[in-house]
Amino acid sequence: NQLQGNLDKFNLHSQLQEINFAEHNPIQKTLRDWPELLDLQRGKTSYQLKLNYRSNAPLTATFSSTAEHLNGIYNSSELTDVNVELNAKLNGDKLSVQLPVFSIKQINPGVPLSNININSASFNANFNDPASGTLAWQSIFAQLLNGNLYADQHSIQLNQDSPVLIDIQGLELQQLMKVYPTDGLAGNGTIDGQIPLIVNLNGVRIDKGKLEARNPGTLRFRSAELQSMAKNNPALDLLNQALDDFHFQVLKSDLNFDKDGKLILHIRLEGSNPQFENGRPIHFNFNLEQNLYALLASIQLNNHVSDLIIKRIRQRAEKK
Amino acid sequence: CTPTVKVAMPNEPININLNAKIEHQIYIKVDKALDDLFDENDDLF
Amino acid sequence: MDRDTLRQKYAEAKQSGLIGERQDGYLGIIKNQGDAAIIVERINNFRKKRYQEVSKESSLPLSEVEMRAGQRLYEKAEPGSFILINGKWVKK
Repeated sequence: NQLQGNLDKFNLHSQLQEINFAEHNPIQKTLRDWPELLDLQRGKTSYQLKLNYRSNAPLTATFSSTAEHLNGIYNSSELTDVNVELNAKLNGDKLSVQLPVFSIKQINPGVPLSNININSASFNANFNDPASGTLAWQSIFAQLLNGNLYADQHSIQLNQDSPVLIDIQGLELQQLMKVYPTDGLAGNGTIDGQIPLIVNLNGVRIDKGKLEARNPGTLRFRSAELQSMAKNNPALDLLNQALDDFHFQVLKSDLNFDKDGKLILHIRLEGSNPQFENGRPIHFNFNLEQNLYALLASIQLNNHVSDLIIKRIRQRAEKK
Repeated sequence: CTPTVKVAMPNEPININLNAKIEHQIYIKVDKALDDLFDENDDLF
Repeated sequence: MDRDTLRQKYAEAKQSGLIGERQDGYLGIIKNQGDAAIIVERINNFRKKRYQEVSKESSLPLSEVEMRAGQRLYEKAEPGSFILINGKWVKK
């Protein structure tokens, strides 16, 4: 670190080549508001800070940092191979941050989101009031259940509800059925969709998302519980037989999600089971409600995740 | 002769409406296992 | 000490406030008199083996099963028996 200057002007040039995260995180102890839920375990980061002060001019500072192949846990999600290049400029109270590189190989809250690429992201705000800053990006790509998610150019005000439209192409029903923590579920089909996120500082919600199967497919639900319940319940018996081997022509759903995690799907299925009443057409209207966070947590608990993640899931469950 | 009633298989679709609320209780499995454990050995728990 | 004697001594020790339930699903000694120590050791070993089985079956680590058992046993503890709360033995 070099500090030159006299009373009316000084500039500080501090540079750190490389911090290596072995098992513990040296930065966590220094940065006051390190997000306490972010636990970095492996990877390299370096930073460079330049601060210039002249008594009659506003304080100016530049801060640049790179992070390579960071791995760790954020909240209860495993983070794999995070790469960030960040350049920040402070001029008086005007803060502007550019992220020429921001990629994550995978973030896994239960269902993995992989190959995430956020292109030319930027954040501009008044240094004293970052909460009303503006977040913008050129495009965002990610992959989910072998399908592609894409968000094009957006600029959002953090302190207001900002719409972000996510386009989904080629989600595989087969992957979803494999990941879903209910035994006896199987199916295949390709799903496309449009998901309008509403984003603000305290959360994300979805209003009238749309999902639809691109072409006919199959759905199967064979469960001993349903079998036994169906014995003395004609409606369930019908459901049980229909879903034994259901071939659908139409599969579409509305999707709503609130910031507390409540996920509501209005699913429409049209098709038949060839072995049931010679393939008589059956139309389903499913209204399915569940908590997405609880769903993700139960997936994780079934997949032997690390103790730290389990501890965080328990803490969150106890807070309710 | 007894009339044979031939029910033509109606081909109009069967409609099934279903409302389901799934409770992803995180602790369902472990609670159930603990209940069984406590019941079978309530003298030592 | 066979199971019947252990059961009987456990009930007596609990009644007379020698032992109580801890938060981690195991027994703790309140007053080390009579057979308190032996009972606690025997029963805790028994419980640990069972918790390990539950841990395998429910794919949760042992520490989570113990915590969950502790919570359930607090609810189950009969009035008059002791439970450990923030380091202090409290009569339910």
